[in-house]
Amino acid sequence: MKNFVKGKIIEVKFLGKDYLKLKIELPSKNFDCFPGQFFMLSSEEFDLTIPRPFSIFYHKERTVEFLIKRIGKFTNKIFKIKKGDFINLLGPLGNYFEEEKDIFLVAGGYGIAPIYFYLKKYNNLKNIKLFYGGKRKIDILFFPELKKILKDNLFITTEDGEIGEKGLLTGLIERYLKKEKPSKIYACGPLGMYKSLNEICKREKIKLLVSMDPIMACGYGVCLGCVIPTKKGNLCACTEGPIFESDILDWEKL
Amino acid sequence: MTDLKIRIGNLELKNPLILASGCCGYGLEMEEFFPLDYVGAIVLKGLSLEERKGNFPPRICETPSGMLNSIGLQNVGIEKFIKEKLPEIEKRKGVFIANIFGEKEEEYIKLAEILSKIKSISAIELNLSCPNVKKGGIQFGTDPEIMKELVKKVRKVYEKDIWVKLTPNVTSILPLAKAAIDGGADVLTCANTYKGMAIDIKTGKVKLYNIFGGLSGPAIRPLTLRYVFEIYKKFKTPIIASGGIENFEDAIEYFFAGASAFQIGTILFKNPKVPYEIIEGLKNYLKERNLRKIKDLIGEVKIYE
Repeated sequence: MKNFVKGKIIEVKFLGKDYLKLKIELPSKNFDCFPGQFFMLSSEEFDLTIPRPFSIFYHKERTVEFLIKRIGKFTNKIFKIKKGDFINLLGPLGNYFEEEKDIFLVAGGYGIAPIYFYLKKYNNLKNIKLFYGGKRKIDILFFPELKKILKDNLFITTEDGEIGEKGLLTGLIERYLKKEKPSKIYACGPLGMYKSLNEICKREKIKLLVSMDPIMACGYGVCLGCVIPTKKGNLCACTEGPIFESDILDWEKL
Repeated sequence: MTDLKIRIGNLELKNPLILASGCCGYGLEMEEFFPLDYVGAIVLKGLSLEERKGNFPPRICETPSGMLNSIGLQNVGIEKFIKEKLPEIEKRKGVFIANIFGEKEEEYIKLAEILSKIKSISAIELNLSCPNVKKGGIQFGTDPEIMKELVKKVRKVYEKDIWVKLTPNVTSILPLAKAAIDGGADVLTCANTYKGMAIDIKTGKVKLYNIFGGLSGPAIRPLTLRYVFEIYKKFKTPIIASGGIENFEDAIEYFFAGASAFQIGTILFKNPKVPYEIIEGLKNYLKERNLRKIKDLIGEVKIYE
Protein backbone atom coordinates (compact mmCIF):
# COMPACT_ATOMS: atom_id res chain seq x y z
CA MET A 1 0.00 0.00 0.00
CA LYS A 2 1.61 3.26 -1.12
CA ASN A 3 0.36 5.95 1.19
CA PHE A 4 0.71 9.63 0.27
CA VAL A 5 0.44 11.52 3.53
CA LYS A 6 1.48 14.56 5.52
CA GLY A 7 3.76 13.78 8.46
CA LYS A 8 4.67 16.02 11.38
CA ILE A 9 8.32 16.53 12.35
CA ILE A 10 8.57 15.55 16.01
CA GLU A 11 12.35 15.59 16.36
CA VAL A 12 15.35 16.94 14.49
CA LYS A 13 18.60 15.55 15.91
CA PHE A 14 21.90 16.86 14.53
CA LEU A 15 24.74 14.34 14.36
CA GLY A 16 27.69 16.55 13.61
CA LYS A 17 27.57 19.23 10.96
CA ASP A 18 26.73 17.01 8.01
CA TYR A 19 24.17 14.55 9.36
CA LEU A 20 20.82 14.69 11.04
CA LYS A 21 18.13 12.28 12.09
CA LEU A 22 14.54 13.20 11.35
CA LYS A 23 11.74 11.70 13.42
CA ILE A 24 8.30 12.02 11.83
CA GLU A 25 4.84 11.24 13.14
CA LEU A 26 2.63 9.55 10.55
CA PRO A 27 -1.12 10.16 10.52
CA SER A 28 -1.92 6.50 11.16
CA LYS A 29 -0.55 3.10 12.09
CA ASN A 30 -1.41 1.63 8.69
CA PHE A 31 2.16 1.40 7.49
CA ASP A 32 4.07 -1.85 7.19
CA CYS A 33 7.72 -0.99 6.76
CA PHE A 34 10.69 -3.26 6.16
CA PRO A 35 14.46 -2.67 6.07
CA GLY A 36 15.55 -1.53 2.63
CA GLN A 37 12.31 0.22 1.80
CA PHE A 38 12.16 3.97 1.36
CA PHE A 39 9.83 6.96 1.29
CA MET A 40 9.75 9.85 -1.20
CA LEU A 41 9.88 13.12 0.75
CA SER A 42 8.78 16.57 -0.36
CA SER A 43 7.48 19.82 1.06
CA GLU A 44 5.58 22.72 -0.48
CA GLU A 45 7.87 24.99 1.54
CA PHE A 46 10.93 23.72 -0.31
CA ASP A 47 9.45 24.69 -3.68
CA LEU A 48 11.33 21.99 -5.58
CA THR A 49 10.04 20.09 -8.61
CA ILE A 50 10.51 16.46 -7.63
CA PRO A 51 10.56 14.61 -4.29
CA ARG A 52 13.64 12.71 -3.04
CA PRO A 53 14.00 9.10 -1.85
CA PHE A 54 15.25 8.29 1.66
CA SER A 55 15.79 4.83 3.15
CA ILE A 56 13.77 4.09 6.25
CA PHE A 57 16.18 4.34 9.18
CA TYR A 58 13.61 3.19 11.70
CA HIS A 59 9.86 2.63 11.89
CA LYS A 60 7.54 1.65 14.65
CA GLU A 61 3.77 2.16 14.72
CA ARG A 62 3.24 5.84 13.93
CA THR A 63 6.87 6.95 13.93
CA VAL A 64 9.27 6.84 11.01
CA GLU A 65 12.87 8.05 11.06
CA PHE A 66 15.31 9.06 8.36
CA LEU A 67 19.06 9.66 8.37
CA ILE A 68 19.88 12.66 6.21
CA LYS A 69 23.32 13.71 4.96
CA ARG A 70 23.71 17.31 3.81
CA ILE A 71 24.59 16.95 0.12
CA GLY A 72 22.60 19.24 -2.18
CA LYS A 73 19.62 21.51 -2.64
CA PHE A 74 17.00 19.32 -1.01
CA THR A 75 19.03 18.13 1.96
CA ASN A 76 20.21 21.67 2.65
CA LYS A 77 16.55 22.67 2.99
CA ILE A 78 15.97 19.71 5.32
CA PHE A 79 18.72 21.10 7.56
CA LYS A 80 16.54 24.18 8.12
CA ILE A 81 13.44 22.18 9.08
CA LYS A 82 11.98 22.60 12.58
CA LYS A 83 10.02 20.46 15.01
CA GLY A 84 6.32 21.01 14.27
CA ASP A 85 6.86 21.50 10.53
CA PHE A 86 5.07 19.22 8.10
CA ILE A 87 6.52 17.08 5.34
CA ASN A 88 4.89 14.99 2.59
CA LEU A 89 5.68 11.29 2.43
CA LEU A 90 4.96 8.65 -0.20
CA GLY A 91 5.61 5.09 0.85
CA PRO A 92 6.74 2.66 2.01
CA LEU A 93 8.21 1.95 -1.42
CA GLY A 94 10.31 -0.77 -2.94
CA ASN A 95 11.40 -4.23 -1.90
CA TYR A 96 13.35 -5.06 1.26
CA PHE A 97 16.14 -7.07 2.89
CA GLU A 98 14.49 -10.25 4.14
CA GLU A 99 15.36 -11.65 7.53
CA GLU A 100 18.21 -14.15 7.19
CA LYS A 101 20.62 -16.09 9.34
CA ASP A 102 24.43 -16.06 9.22
CA ILE A 103 24.74 -13.06 6.95
CA PHE A 104 27.19 -10.20 6.61
CA LEU A 105 25.71 -6.72 6.59
CA VAL A 106 27.85 -4.13 4.82
CA ALA A 107 27.31 -0.39 5.21
CA GLY A 108 29.29 2.30 3.42
CA GLY A 109 28.83 5.85 4.66
CA TYR A 110 25.16 6.82 4.99
CA GLY A 111 24.28 3.35 3.67
CA ILE A 112 24.08 2.53 7.38
CA ALA A 113 20.44 3.72 7.31
CA PRO A 114 18.58 0.58 6.08
CA ILE A 115 21.17 -1.65 7.76
CA TYR A 116 20.41 0.00 11.11
CA PHE A 117 16.68 -0.65 10.51
CA TYR A 118 17.51 -4.29 9.75
CA LEU A 119 19.26 -4.62 13.10
CA LYS A 120 16.37 -2.99 15.00
CA LYS A 121 13.53 -4.73 13.15
CA TYR A 122 14.69 -8.33 13.15
CA ASN A 123 15.29 -10.27 16.35
CA ASN A 124 17.55 -13.09 15.30
CA LEU A 125 20.93 -11.36 15.05
CA LYS A 126 22.98 -14.17 16.57
CA ASN A 127 25.48 -14.74 13.81
CA ILE A 128 25.05 -11.44 12.01
CA LYS A 129 28.23 -9.47 11.35
CA LEU A 130 28.24 -5.79 10.40
CA PHE A 131 31.07 -4.29 8.36
CA TYR A 132 30.71 -0.51 8.47
CA GLY A 133 33.10 1.79 6.66
CA GLY A 134 33.37 5.54 6.24
CA LYS A 135 35.80 8.18 5.13
CA ARG A 136 36.40 9.63 8.59
CA LYS A 137 35.30 9.21 12.21
CA ILE A 138 32.48 11.76 11.71
CA ASP A 139 30.99 9.44 9.07
CA ILE A 140 30.73 6.52 11.50
CA LEU A 141 27.42 7.06 13.26
CA PHE A 142 25.68 5.37 16.19
CA PHE A 143 28.88 3.54 17.20
CA PRO A 144 27.95 3.02 20.89
CA GLU A 145 24.51 1.66 20.02
CA LEU A 146 25.84 -0.63 17.28
CA LYS A 147 28.55 -1.92 19.61
CA LYS A 148 25.92 -2.74 22.22
CA ILE A 149 23.78 -4.68 19.69
CA LEU A 150 26.58 -6.50 17.88
CA LYS A 151 29.47 -6.64 20.40
CA ASP A 152 32.37 -8.44 18.68
CA ASN A 153 30.43 -8.80 15.45
CA LEU A 154 30.98 -5.14 14.55
CA PHE A 155 33.88 -4.22 12.25
CA ILE A 156 34.66 -0.59 11.46
CA THR A 157 37.02 0.95 8.92
CA THR A 158 37.89 4.56 8.19
CA GLU A 159 40.20 5.73 5.43
CA ASP A 160 42.58 7.43 7.85
CA GLY A 161 42.15 4.95 10.71
CA GLU A 162 40.75 7.61 13.04
CA ILE A 163 38.37 4.93 14.35
CA GLY A 164 38.39 1.20 13.61
CA GLU A 165 40.80 -0.24 11.08
CA LYS A 166 42.59 1.96 8.57
CA GLY A 167 41.74 1.36 4.93
CA LEU A 168 38.86 0.39 2.71
CA LEU A 169 35.96 -1.68 3.96
CA THR A 170 36.12 -4.09 1.03
CA GLY A 171 39.76 -4.94 1.90
CA LEU A 172 38.72 -5.96 5.40
CA ILE A 173 35.78 -8.01 4.12
CA GLU A 174 37.97 -9.82 1.58
CA ARG A 175 40.39 -10.83 4.32
CA TYR A 176 37.61 -11.87 6.69
CA LEU A 177 36.03 -14.10 4.05
CA LYS A 178 39.12 -16.32 4.20
CA LYS A 179 38.11 -17.24 7.78
CA GLU A 180 34.36 -17.35 7.49
CA LYS A 181 31.78 -17.42 4.73
CA PRO A 182 28.31 -15.94 5.27
CA SER A 183 25.13 -17.35 3.73
CA LYS A 184 24.57 -13.99 2.01
CA ILE A 185 25.84 -10.43 2.00
CA TYR A 186 23.47 -7.47 2.22
CA ALA A 187 25.13 -4.19 1.24
CA CYS A 188 24.19 -0.54 1.17
CA GLY A 189 26.71 2.10 0.16
CA PRO A 190 28.40 3.77 -2.82
CA LEU A 191 28.51 2.16 -6.26
CA GLY A 192 32.30 1.83 -6.10
CA MET A 193 31.96 -0.32 -3.00
CA TYR A 194 29.44 -2.55 -4.80
CA LYS A 195 31.75 -3.03 -7.76
CA SER A 196 34.55 -4.27 -5.49
CA LEU A 197 32.16 -6.42 -3.46
CA ASN A 198 30.70 -7.92 -6.64
CA GLU A 199 34.16 -9.09 -7.75
CA ILE A 200 34.89 -10.57 -4.32
CA CYS A 201 31.51 -12.33 -4.07
CA LYS A 202 31.80 -13.76 -7.58
CA ARG A 203 35.16 -15.25 -6.65
CA GLU A 204 34.01 -16.57 -3.29
CA LYS A 205 30.64 -17.69 -4.70
CA ILE A 206 28.60 -15.74 -2.17
CA LYS A 207 25.19 -14.24 -2.95
CA LEU A 208 25.30 -10.45 -2.77
CA LEU A 209 22.28 -8.14 -2.57
CA VAL A 210 22.81 -4.40 -3.02
CA SER A 211 20.58 -1.38 -2.53
CA MET A 212 20.69 0.92 -5.56
CA ASP A 213 20.31 4.66 -5.17
CA PRO A 214 19.65 6.31 -8.58
CA ILE A 215 18.05 9.71 -9.03
CA MET A 216 14.28 9.32 -8.79
CA ALA A 217 11.39 11.56 -9.73
CA CYS A 218 8.14 9.75 -8.94
CA GLY A 219 9.14 6.76 -6.81
CA TYR A 220 6.13 4.76 -7.91
CA GLY A 221 7.04 3.41 -11.32
CA VAL A 222 5.61 5.84 -13.88
CA CYS A 223 8.41 8.22 -14.89
CA LEU A 224 10.95 5.47 -15.76
CA GLY A 225 13.74 7.79 -14.64
CA CYS A 226 15.37 5.53 -12.05
CA VAL A 227 16.13 2.51 -14.23
CA ILE A 228 19.01 0.20 -13.42
CA PRO A 229 20.55 -1.67 -16.38
CA THR A 230 20.24 -5.40 -15.67
CA LYS A 231 20.46 -8.66 -17.59
CA LYS A 232 16.63 -8.60 -17.59
CA GLY A 233 16.55 -5.15 -19.21
CA ASN A 234 16.06 -1.72 -17.67
CA LEU A 235 14.32 -2.16 -14.31
CA CYS A 236 12.99 0.69 -12.17
CA ALA A 237 14.76 0.82 -8.82
CA CYS A 238 11.58 2.15 -7.20
CA THR A 239 9.34 -0.79 -8.08
CA GLU A 240 11.68 -3.68 -8.96
CA GLY A 241 14.27 -2.62 -6.38
CA PRO A 242 15.92 -0.79 -4.77
CA ILE A 243 17.50 -4.06 -3.70
CA PHE A 244 18.91 -6.18 -6.50
CA GLU A 245 20.90 -9.38 -6.64
CA SER A 246 24.34 -8.35 -7.84
CA ASP A 247 24.54 -11.11 -10.44
CA ILE A 248 21.61 -9.77 -12.45
CA LEU A 249 23.04 -6.25 -12.66
CA ASP A 250 24.71 -5.19 -15.91
CA TRP A 251 27.97 -4.06 -14.34
CA GLU A 252 29.44 -2.81 -17.62
CA LYS A 253 26.68 -0.21 -17.92
CA LEU A 254 26.67 0.90 -14.27
CA MET B 1 -24.53 23.10 -9.96
CA THR B 2 -21.16 23.61 -11.58
CA ASP B 3 -20.54 21.47 -14.59
CA LEU B 4 -17.01 20.49 -15.51
CA LYS B 5 -18.10 18.46 -18.54
CA ILE B 6 -16.30 19.41 -21.72
CA ARG B 7 -16.35 18.41 -25.32
CA ILE B 8 -12.94 18.02 -26.93
CA GLY B 9 -13.14 17.10 -30.60
CA ASN B 10 -15.83 14.40 -30.66
CA LEU B 11 -15.21 13.20 -27.13
CA GLU B 12 -17.35 14.18 -24.18
CA LEU B 13 -15.25 14.13 -21.03
CA LYS B 14 -16.61 14.43 -17.50
CA ASN B 15 -13.97 17.08 -16.73
CA PRO B 16 -11.08 18.78 -18.56
CA LEU B 17 -8.33 17.18 -16.42
CA ILE B 18 -6.27 14.73 -18.48
CA LEU B 19 -3.17 12.84 -17.39
CA ALA B 20 -0.21 13.39 -19.74
CA SER B 21 1.57 10.60 -21.57
CA GLY B 22 4.74 9.43 -19.87
CA CYS B 23 3.66 10.60 -16.43
CA CYS B 24 1.07 8.00 -15.50
CA GLY B 25 2.38 4.72 -16.92
CA TYR B 26 -0.41 2.60 -18.35
CA GLY B 27 -2.92 4.23 -16.00
CA LEU B 28 -3.03 1.27 -13.59
CA GLU B 29 -0.18 2.68 -11.52
CA MET B 30 -2.35 5.67 -10.56
CA GLU B 31 -5.12 3.55 -9.02
CA GLU B 32 -3.48 3.68 -5.61
CA PHE B 33 -4.11 7.41 -5.58
CA PHE B 34 -7.48 7.95 -7.25
CA PRO B 35 -10.06 6.00 -9.29
CA LEU B 36 -9.05 6.06 -12.96
CA ASP B 37 -12.42 7.52 -13.97
CA TYR B 38 -12.02 10.45 -11.55
CA VAL B 39 -10.06 12.32 -14.22
CA GLY B 40 -11.43 13.27 -17.64
CA ALA B 41 -9.01 11.01 -19.51
CA ILE B 42 -5.67 9.26 -19.23
CA VAL B 43 -3.07 9.32 -22.02
CA LEU B 44 -0.99 6.16 -21.83
CA LYS B 45 2.79 5.95 -22.05
CA GLY B 46 3.85 6.32 -25.69
CA LEU B 47 3.68 3.07 -27.66
CA SER B 48 5.87 2.00 -30.54
CA LEU B 49 5.58 -1.08 -32.75
CA GLU B 50 8.59 -2.77 -31.16
CA GLU B 51 9.53 -2.80 -27.51
CA ARG B 52 12.00 -0.01 -26.67
CA LYS B 53 14.59 -0.09 -23.90
CA GLY B 54 14.94 3.67 -23.80
CA ASN B 55 18.11 5.67 -23.15
CA PHE B 56 20.95 4.81 -20.77
CA PRO B 57 20.70 6.41 -17.33
CA PRO B 58 21.00 9.03 -15.97
CA ARG B 59 17.69 9.99 -17.55
CA ILE B 60 16.33 12.70 -15.27
CA CYS B 61 17.46 15.74 -13.34
CA GLU B 62 15.80 18.60 -11.57
CA THR B 63 16.20 22.14 -12.87
CA PRO B 64 14.86 25.43 -11.46
CA SER B 65 11.05 25.12 -11.41
CA GLY B 66 11.24 22.08 -13.63
CA MET B 67 13.02 18.96 -14.67
CA LEU B 68 14.74 17.46 -17.68
CA ASN B 69 13.90 13.98 -18.86
CA SER B 70 15.54 11.84 -21.48
CA ILE B 71 13.72 8.58 -20.94
CA GLY B 72 13.85 7.67 -24.63
CA LEU B 73 10.30 6.35 -25.01
CA GLN B 74 10.91 3.12 -23.12
CA ASN B 75 7.76 1.02 -23.61
CA VAL B 76 6.67 -2.60 -23.87
CA GLY B 77 5.71 -2.32 -27.56
CA ILE B 78 2.19 -2.64 -29.00
CA GLU B 79 2.05 -6.47 -28.89
CA LYS B 80 2.95 -6.80 -25.24
CA PHE B 81 0.68 -3.84 -24.45
CA ILE B 82 -2.31 -5.62 -25.98
CA LYS B 83 -1.43 -8.92 -24.32
CA GLU B 84 -0.48 -7.73 -20.83
CA LYS B 85 -1.62 -4.18 -20.12
CA LEU B 86 -4.86 -3.82 -22.09
CA PRO B 87 -6.78 -6.63 -20.32
CA GLU B 88 -6.03 -4.91 -17.00
CA ILE B 89 -7.04 -1.48 -18.34
CA GLU B 90 -10.31 -2.91 -19.66
CA LYS B 91 -11.27 -4.09 -16.17
CA ARG B 92 -11.36 -0.45 -15.07
CA LYS B 93 -13.72 2.42 -15.79
CA GLY B 94 -12.15 5.45 -17.41
CA VAL B 95 -11.31 7.14 -20.71
CA PHE B 96 -8.04 5.90 -22.17
CA ILE B 97 -6.09 7.54 -24.98
CA ALA B 98 -3.16 5.80 -26.66
CA ASN B 99 -0.10 7.89 -27.50
CA ILE B 100 1.89 6.54 -30.43
CA PHE B 101 5.36 7.06 -31.81
CA GLY B 102 7.25 5.80 -34.83
CA GLU B 103 10.48 6.38 -36.67
CA LYS B 104 8.79 5.98 -40.05
CA GLU B 105 5.35 6.91 -41.43
CA GLU B 106 4.48 3.22 -41.85
CA GLU B 107 4.93 2.65 -38.13
CA TYR B 108 2.40 5.34 -37.20
CA ILE B 109 -0.06 3.95 -39.75
CA LYS B 110 0.36 0.38 -38.50
CA LEU B 111 -0.08 1.44 -34.87
CA ALA B 112 -3.18 3.48 -35.75
CA GLU B 113 -4.65 0.51 -37.66
CA ILE B 114 -4.12 -1.81 -34.71
CA LEU B 115 -5.57 0.68 -32.22
CA SER B 116 -8.60 1.44 -34.40
CA LYS B 117 -9.81 -2.07 -33.63
CA ILE B 118 -9.55 -1.62 -29.87
CA LYS B 119 -12.80 -0.33 -28.42
CA SER B 120 -11.42 0.59 -25.04
CA ILE B 121 -9.07 3.17 -26.57
CA SER B 122 -11.12 6.31 -27.16
CA ALA B 123 -8.66 8.27 -29.30
CA ILE B 124 -5.00 8.35 -30.31
CA GLU B 125 -2.44 11.06 -29.65
CA LEU B 126 0.36 11.29 -32.20
CA ASN B 127 3.74 11.96 -30.65
CA LEU B 128 5.42 13.94 -33.40
CA SER B 129 7.62 15.84 -31.09
CA CYS B 130 9.81 13.72 -28.90
CA PRO B 131 13.19 15.43 -28.59
CA ASN B 132 14.72 12.39 -26.98
CA VAL B 133 15.33 9.99 -29.81
CA LYS B 134 17.83 10.28 -32.60
CA LYS B 135 15.62 9.34 -35.52
CA GLY B 136 12.04 10.21 -36.35
CA GLY B 137 9.76 12.33 -34.23
CA ILE B 138 11.70 15.51 -34.88
CA GLN B 139 11.11 15.78 -38.64
CA PHE B 140 7.48 14.80 -38.36
CA GLY B 141 6.93 17.57 -35.87
CA THR B 142 8.98 20.36 -37.41
CA ASP B 143 8.25 20.16 -41.13
CA PRO B 144 4.66 21.21 -42.01
CA GLU B 145 4.55 19.24 -45.27
CA ILE B 146 5.80 16.03 -43.66
CA MET B 147 3.45 16.53 -40.70
CA LYS B 148 0.42 17.07 -42.94
CA GLU B 149 1.23 13.95 -44.99
CA LEU B 150 1.58 11.81 -41.91
CA VAL B 151 -1.64 13.01 -40.29
CA LYS B 152 -3.48 12.49 -43.60
CA LYS B 153 -2.27 8.89 -43.83
CA VAL B 154 -3.18 8.15 -40.22
CA ARG B 155 -6.56 9.79 -40.79
CA LYS B 156 -7.29 7.29 -43.56
CA VAL B 157 -6.93 4.29 -41.22
CA TYR B 158 -8.30 5.69 -37.95
CA GLU B 159 -11.93 6.84 -37.55
CA LYS B 160 -11.97 7.98 -33.91
CA ASP B 161 -10.38 11.26 -32.81
CA ILE B 162 -6.74 12.06 -33.60
CA TRP B 163 -4.89 14.36 -31.22
CA VAL B 164 -1.63 15.78 -32.62
CA LYS B 165 0.90 16.60 -29.93
CA LEU B 166 2.95 19.51 -31.18
CA THR B 167 6.63 20.09 -30.52
CA PRO B 168 7.43 23.54 -29.12
CA ASN B 169 11.01 23.34 -30.39
CA VAL B 170 10.21 25.35 -33.50
CA THR B 171 10.62 28.90 -34.70
CA SER B 172 6.94 29.24 -35.46
CA ILE B 173 4.25 26.84 -34.34
CA LEU B 174 1.43 28.22 -36.50
CA PRO B 175 2.41 26.49 -39.79
CA LEU B 176 2.59 23.22 -37.88
CA ALA B 177 -0.74 23.71 -36.19
CA LYS B 178 -2.21 24.44 -39.62
CA ALA B 179 -0.55 21.36 -41.15
CA ALA B 180 -2.01 19.14 -38.42
CA ILE B 181 -5.48 20.60 -38.88
CA ASP B 182 -5.29 20.35 -42.68
CA GLY B 183 -4.09 16.77 -42.36
CA GLY B 184 -7.26 15.92 -40.43
CA ALA B 185 -6.38 16.25 -36.76
CA ASP B 186 -9.40 16.70 -34.48
CA VAL B 187 -7.47 18.17 -31.56
CA LEU B 188 -4.06 19.71 -30.94
CA THR B 189 -2.12 18.92 -27.76
CA CYS B 190 0.01 21.95 -27.10
CA ALA B 191 2.72 21.06 -26.35
CA ASN B 192 5.52 18.59 -25.68
CA THR B 193 8.69 19.32 -23.70
CA TYR B 194 11.41 21.86 -24.55
CA LYS B 195 14.88 20.68 -25.51
CA GLY B 196 17.45 21.54 -22.85
CA MET B 197 20.47 20.30 -20.91
CA ALA B 198 22.29 20.55 -17.57
CA ILE B 199 25.90 20.19 -16.39
CA ASP B 200 27.11 19.05 -12.97
CA ILE B 201 29.80 21.51 -11.95
CA LYS B 202 31.18 19.14 -9.29
CA THR B 203 32.23 16.68 -11.95
CA GLY B 204 32.14 18.81 -15.10
CA LYS B 205 29.92 16.15 -16.68
CA VAL B 206 26.54 16.50 -18.39
CA LYS B 207 23.72 15.43 -16.08
CA LEU B 208 21.90 13.34 -18.69
CA TYR B 209 23.58 10.40 -20.46
CA ASN B 210 21.92 11.55 -23.68
CA ILE B 211 23.19 15.14 -23.15
CA PHE B 212 19.84 16.71 -24.10
CA GLY B 213 16.45 16.16 -22.55
CA GLY B 214 12.93 17.58 -22.49
CA LEU B 215 12.21 20.37 -20.02
CA SER B 216 8.88 20.26 -18.23
CA GLY B 217 7.37 21.85 -15.13
CA PRO B 218 6.28 25.37 -14.14
CA ALA B 219 9.27 26.99 -15.87
CA ILE B 220 7.74 26.24 -19.28
CA ARG B 221 4.22 27.45 -18.61
CA PRO B 222 4.66 31.00 -19.94
CA LEU B 223 6.22 29.55 -23.09
CA THR B 224 3.47 27.03 -23.83
CA LEU B 225 0.75 29.49 -22.80
CA ARG B 226 1.94 31.75 -25.58
CA TYR B 227 1.64 28.92 -28.13
CA VAL B 228 -1.88 28.06 -26.97
CA PHE B 229 -2.88 31.71 -27.25
CA GLU B 230 -1.40 32.10 -30.75
CA ILE B 231 -2.90 28.88 -32.09
CA TYR B 232 -6.36 29.55 -30.68
CA LYS B 233 -6.37 33.14 -31.91
CA LYS B 234 -5.56 32.07 -35.47
CA PHE B 235 -7.44 28.79 -35.82
CA LYS B 236 -10.07 28.59 -33.02
CA THR B 237 -9.42 24.85 -33.01
CA PRO B 238 -9.82 22.45 -30.04
CA ILE B 239 -6.64 22.61 -27.98
CA ILE B 240 -5.50 20.53 -25.00
CA ALA B 241 -2.93 22.58 -23.09
CA SER B 242 0.04 20.75 -21.64
CA GLY B 243 2.91 22.56 -19.95
CA GLY B 244 3.73 23.25 -16.31
CA ILE B 245 0.26 23.00 -14.80
CA GLU B 246 0.48 22.47 -11.03
CA ASN B 247 -2.91 23.65 -9.80
CA PHE B 248 -6.34 24.79 -10.93
CA GLU B 249 -5.16 28.40 -11.37
CA ASP B 250 -2.62 27.34 -13.98
CA ALA B 251 -5.33 25.41 -15.83
CA ILE B 252 -7.60 28.44 -15.86
CA GLU B 253 -4.86 30.58 -17.37
CA TYR B 254 -4.82 28.12 -20.25
CA PHE B 255 -8.63 28.19 -20.60
CA PHE B 256 -8.53 31.95 -20.97
CA ALA B 257 -5.86 31.54 -23.66
CA GLY B 258 -8.05 29.16 -25.63
CA ALA B 259 -7.58 25.63 -24.31
CA SER B 260 -10.65 23.39 -23.94
CA ALA B 261 -8.87 20.87 -21.70
CA PHE B 262 -5.47 20.38 -20.11
CA GLN B 263 -2.93 17.72 -19.22
CA ILE B 264 -0.89 17.38 -16.06
CA GLY B 265 2.37 15.48 -15.95
CA THR B 266 5.37 16.51 -13.87
CA ILE B 267 3.23 17.61 -10.91
CA LEU B 268 2.07 14.00 -10.47
CA PHE B 269 5.59 13.02 -9.38
CA LYS B 270 5.52 15.35 -6.40
CA ASN B 271 1.78 15.08 -5.68
CA PRO B 272 0.05 12.00 -7.11
CA LYS B 273 -3.23 13.09 -5.49
CA VAL B 274 -3.24 16.53 -7.11
CA PRO B 275 -6.29 15.70 -9.31
CA TYR B 276 -8.52 16.07 -6.25
CA GLU B 277 -7.18 19.55 -5.50
CA ILE B 278 -7.50 20.65 -9.12
CA ILE B 279 -11.07 19.41 -9.62
CA GLU B 280 -12.25 20.99 -6.37
CA GLY B 281 -10.40 24.18 -7.23
CA LEU B 282 -12.07 24.39 -10.64
CA LYS B 283 -15.52 23.78 -9.16
CA ASN B 284 -15.00 26.50 -6.54
CA TYR B 285 -13.68 28.94 -9.11
CA LEU B 286 -16.81 28.55 -11.25
CA LYS B 287 -19.09 28.76 -8.23
CA GLU B 288 -17.50 31.95 -6.99
CA ARG B 289 -17.94 33.60 -10.37
CA ASN B 290 -21.44 32.28 -10.93
CA LEU B 291 -20.31 30.48 -14.06
CA ARG B 292 -22.12 27.30 -14.88
CA LYS B 293 -19.70 25.79 -17.35
CA ILE B 294 -15.93 25.74 -17.74
CA LYS B 295 -16.36 26.35 -21.47
CA ASP B 296 -17.59 29.87 -20.73
CA LEU B 297 -13.94 30.75 -20.08
CA ILE B 298 -12.40 29.29 -23.22
CA GLY B 299 -10.56 31.94 -25.22
CA GLU B 300 -12.03 34.74 -23.13
CA VAL B 301 -8.70 36.38 -22.37
CA LYS B 302 -8.82 40.18 -22.57
CA ILE B 303 -6.01 42.24 -24.06
CA TYR B 304 -5.17 45.93 -23.83
CA GLU B 305 -6.69 47.95 -26.63
